[in-house]
Amino acid sequence: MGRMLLACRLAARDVRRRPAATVLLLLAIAAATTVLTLGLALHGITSQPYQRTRAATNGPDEVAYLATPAQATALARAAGVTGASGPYPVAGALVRAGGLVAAAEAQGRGEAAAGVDRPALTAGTWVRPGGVVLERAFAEALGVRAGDRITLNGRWFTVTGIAVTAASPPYPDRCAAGCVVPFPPGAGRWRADVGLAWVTEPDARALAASDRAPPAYVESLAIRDPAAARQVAAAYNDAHHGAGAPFLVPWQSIRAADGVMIQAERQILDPGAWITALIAVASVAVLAGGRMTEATRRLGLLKAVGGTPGLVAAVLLAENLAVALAAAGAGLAAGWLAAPLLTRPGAFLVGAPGAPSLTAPDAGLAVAVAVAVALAATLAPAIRAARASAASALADPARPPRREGALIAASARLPVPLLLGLRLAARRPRRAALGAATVTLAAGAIVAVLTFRASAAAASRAIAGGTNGPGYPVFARDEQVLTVLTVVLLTLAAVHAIVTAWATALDARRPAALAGALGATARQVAAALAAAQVLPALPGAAAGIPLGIAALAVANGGGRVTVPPAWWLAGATAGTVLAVAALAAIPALIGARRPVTEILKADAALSLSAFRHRRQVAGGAPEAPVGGDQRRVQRYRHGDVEGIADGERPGRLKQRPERPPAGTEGPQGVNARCGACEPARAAEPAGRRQHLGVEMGRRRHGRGREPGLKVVLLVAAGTTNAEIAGELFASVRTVEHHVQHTLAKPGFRSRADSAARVAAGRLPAA
Amino acid sequence: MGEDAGACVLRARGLCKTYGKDAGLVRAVDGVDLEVAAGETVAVMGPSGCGKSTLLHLLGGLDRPTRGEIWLAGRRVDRMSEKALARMRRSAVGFVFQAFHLMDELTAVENVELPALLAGHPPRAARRRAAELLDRVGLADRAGFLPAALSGGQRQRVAIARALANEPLVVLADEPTGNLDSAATVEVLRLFDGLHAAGQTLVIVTHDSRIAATADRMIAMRDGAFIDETRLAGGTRGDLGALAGLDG
Repeated sequence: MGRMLLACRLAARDVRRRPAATVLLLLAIAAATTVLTLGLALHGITSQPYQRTRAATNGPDEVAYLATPAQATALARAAGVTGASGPYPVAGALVRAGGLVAAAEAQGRGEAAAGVDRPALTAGTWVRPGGVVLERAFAEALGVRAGDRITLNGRWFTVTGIAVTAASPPYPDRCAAGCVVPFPPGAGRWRADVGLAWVTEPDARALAASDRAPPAYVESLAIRDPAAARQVAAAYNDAHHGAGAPFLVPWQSIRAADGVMIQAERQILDPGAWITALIAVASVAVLAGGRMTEATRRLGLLKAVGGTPGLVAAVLLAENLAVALAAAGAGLAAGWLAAPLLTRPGAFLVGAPGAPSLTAPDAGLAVAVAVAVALAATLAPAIRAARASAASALADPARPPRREGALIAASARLPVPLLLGLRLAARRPRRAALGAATVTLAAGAIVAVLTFRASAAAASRAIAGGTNGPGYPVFARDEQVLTVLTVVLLTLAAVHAIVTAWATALDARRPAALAGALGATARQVAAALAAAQVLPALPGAAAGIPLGIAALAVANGGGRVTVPPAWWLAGATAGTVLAVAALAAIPALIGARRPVTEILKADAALSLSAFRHRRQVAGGAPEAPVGGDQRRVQRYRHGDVEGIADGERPGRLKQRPERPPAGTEGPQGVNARCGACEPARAAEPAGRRQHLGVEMGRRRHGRGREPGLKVVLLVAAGTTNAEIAGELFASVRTVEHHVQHTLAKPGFRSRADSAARVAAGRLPAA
Repeated sequence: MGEDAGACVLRARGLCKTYGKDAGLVRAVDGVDLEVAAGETVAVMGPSGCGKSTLLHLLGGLDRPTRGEIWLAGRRVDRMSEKALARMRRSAVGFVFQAFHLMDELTAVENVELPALLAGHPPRAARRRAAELLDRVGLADRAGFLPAALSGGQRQRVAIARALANEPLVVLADEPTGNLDSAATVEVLRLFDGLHAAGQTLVIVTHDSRIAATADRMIAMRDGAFIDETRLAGGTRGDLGALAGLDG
C-alpha cells in the first residue's frame, strides 16, 4: 500500500514537472477518444431509430401502391391482413417555397387519425382544408416551418405541421423503396428527389385535377406476421404484375432505405475514427520517444537506488493511467456533446433526435482504447528499463541520432536555416516520417472535404437539371460529418505537429546550442527548428491531394468524384504547410531562446547535478531557476570545494558532522566528499588517476568507505556513468562495475523507499 | 580604443557577471580586466566554480556581462545585438569545449566544415579548408569517421580544427584537456603549442598546470576575480614530455 502511494507520489511529481508534455499527451488521447465516441454513438443510431419511429407511428407492415381504389378492397381481404388504412389518393405536386422548387407526392388524408400509419407530428397540427403537413426532412430541405405559406401546383397552402412517418424513407429517398408518382408535373424532367406532403383528401383530388391526371392510391397495411412482410410482398408482387397492377413495399425495404443515409455517414466516420486513432498513437509515440531518454534514465535511477522492477512499473503505470483516464473522460464528454451536431439533421425520426444514447459498453470501450494507447506509450521505456541493467540505463542518451550521409552532403549547399533544419530532420527519420504521414492525413482530409463539396455541387446541378431545387439533406449531413471529422483530424494533426516540434526542439537542444556557439544566429536556429518540421511536411501535404480524392472515391463506392479547382487544392496544401510552420515555430522559438552556455554546460556538468543533489539534501531549499554558473559559484562560496591545492578554505567537508551510523548512512557525506575529488584530480599525478576517485577519497580524507556507494549516490544525483567516469577519472566500465557491485549488496536494495526519495529529489533528514 | 586595436585583440574592462538578487546574489565574474595581445597565449587557472568558464563565455559572446566592457579587435562586443554577436562568433572566435561538443551524426570533416557553412562559404571551399585543417591536426586519415569512432584525443583535435575553420582572431578553449588521458593531453598540448607558434591568439581556461605552462601568461582566478598573474616569458616549448610528467 505504501509502495503504491509512493509510486503515485512520484508519478504526480513527474506530471507536475512537465505540464506541457502531459497536456499534449492528454490532448492526443482525448481527441482519439472523441472520435471513437462519435463513431460509437452514431453506430447506435443506425440500428435504433426506424424501429422506434415505427412503434411511435404504428407504422405499416406493407405499403400498397394502387392504380384504383377498387384494388384496395381486394387487397384488404387478402389472407393475413389484419388492419388497413386508406386507400389515400396521391397527386403529383410541384412545390414552391421561398424561391425553391421541388417535386412532391401529395397524399390525401382524413383529418382524423388513421389506424395504421399515423404520421407523428414534430411541429404544428395535422392536415385541414387549405393546409399541408410536410415530411420533416423535406421541410428541412425547403427551409420551411409550420405557419409558412407555400404553393402546390400553383395553389397556396399553409404549412400546418411537420411530421415523421415510418411508411416512407425521408426526403430525398422517398422513392428508394417505391412510389407512385415518379413524374411530377411541371418539373421539367424526372427528379430523383421527391418529397412527401400530406393534405386533405379533397385537396389531393383537386391537386390531381389541376394536374389533369387521375390520382394514384396508397394504402397502409398491417399483417399478421410482420417478420414475414418481405416474403408476403414478394409473393404478391410476383402474382400481380403488369401495368396498373398494385404492388407492395414491405417495411424492411423502407428501413433499409432509411438507414442508407446514416450508413453513408458511418462510411465516412469509421475510417475517420481509425485514422484519428492512428494519428493519436503516432503523437503518443513521438511524445514517448521525446521523453524516452529521460524516462529511461529516471527508471534506471529508481533501479539503481534499489527500486524493484515492480515499483518502477508502478510509477510509469500510475502516471500514464491517470493521464489516460482524464483524457478518456474529456474525450467521452466532447464526443457526447459533438454527436448531436452530426445527428441533428438526421433527427427526422421520432426516436433519434437529440443526444444519442451512449451505452455503458460504448463508454467502456472508449476508456479502454484510451488506456491502451497510454499504456502502449509506457511499454517501450518500461521494457527497456526492466531489461537493461541500471548501469546501462543511466549510461547515455537512449537513442543516438541517425546519420543520413546523402542528406547531410546535399544540405551543405542550402542556406543556413535549411541546412540545419534538414540535418535536424534527418537525425530522426522515423519521427520525420510520422510527421509527414500526419500532414498527409490532415491535408487529405481537407482535400476530401473540398472534393466532396465540388462533387455535391456537381451532382445537385446534374439532378436538378438547372432548376432551382432545394439542397440535399444527405449531402449537407455528409458534409457536416466530414467537416466535424476534419476538425477533429486537424486538431489532432496540430497536436501532433506541436508534439513533434517539441520533441525535435528537445532533442536538438545540444546541436542547436552548438550551432549558436559556432555562429548561427538565434533566428537562424529557430528557423532551422521550424524547417525541420516543414521539410517533411511538404511532400506529406502534396501526397494528401491524391489521398483525399481517392479516399472520397472509395467512400463513394467507386463513384465519380469531381476534382475541385486546382487553386483550392494548392491553397489547402499551402495552408497545411503554413499551419505546420506556425505550430512548429512556437517550440522552436522557445528552444532557440534558451541560453547556449547553459545547455552546453548542462551536457557535461557532473558537478552541477551532484551539487543540485547535495543542495536538496542540505536544506531542501526551493530550487530557484538559476544558471549553471550560479550553482557552481554558490557551491564554491559555500565552501564545499577546496581550491587547487589550497588549504585556505576549510571546506564544508571538515565541518561536516560526524558520519551517521552505518545502517542509516545517507548520501550527504558521500556526496560532499565527491566535491573534494575535483581538487584532488588536479593535484594527483596522472598515473594514479586511472585508479578511480575512490582511492583518492581514502587517501585524502581517510575514510575507507564503500567506493561503489559514492558512485551510486552520484547516480542518484542524476549523473550519468559517463559523467561519473569523467569526474572520477575512471573508465565507464569501472563505474558500471561499481554500480552493479553495490546494488548486489544486501541492505541496499531493501531501501527502496529512501531510494525512490533520492530519485524524487526528497531525501529523508538522515 | 582604436590605437591599440592592432596589438590588443581582446580586451575586457571591469567585467562583471552576476546571477540572482539580494541575498542570493552571486558574482560569477567580479571586476575582471584583461588584455590579450595578438599572438599571445593566456591561460586562466582556478578552482572549479571560480568563474573561469563564465569569463570565457563572456569573452566569446556566448553570454552577456552584467557590467563592464569587452572589445574584440577594436569593436565593442558587449553591446552588440544578438545577431551581430552571432556573426562575430562566426568570424572572429573559435571555441574548444571540454566535452568536445561534436555533432554525433556528422563525420570529422563535416564537423570541421560546419562553421564555414554557417558563415555562408561555398560548400566546396569549406570542405577543402576542413580537409586542410584535419591534415594540420594530424587526422587526415580520419576525415570520414564519426566522432563515436574516434578516441577522446582525436575528438578534441577535430574540435580544435573546427575552432580554426573560419580563421578566428582568437581561440577560446574551456578545459580542453579536462576529459582526456595523459597521452591525449600531450597530443592536444602539442597542437596548442603549434598554434601558439603560428601566431594564433589563444585563451585557455584550465585546471591543468601543464597546459598553463605552455602559455605566455598565466592568470589565477578565484571567486570571479583575477588574483595573480605570472608571465612565463618564452613559454616552455620543446620540453613537453618532461612537463607532461611522462618521463617518470
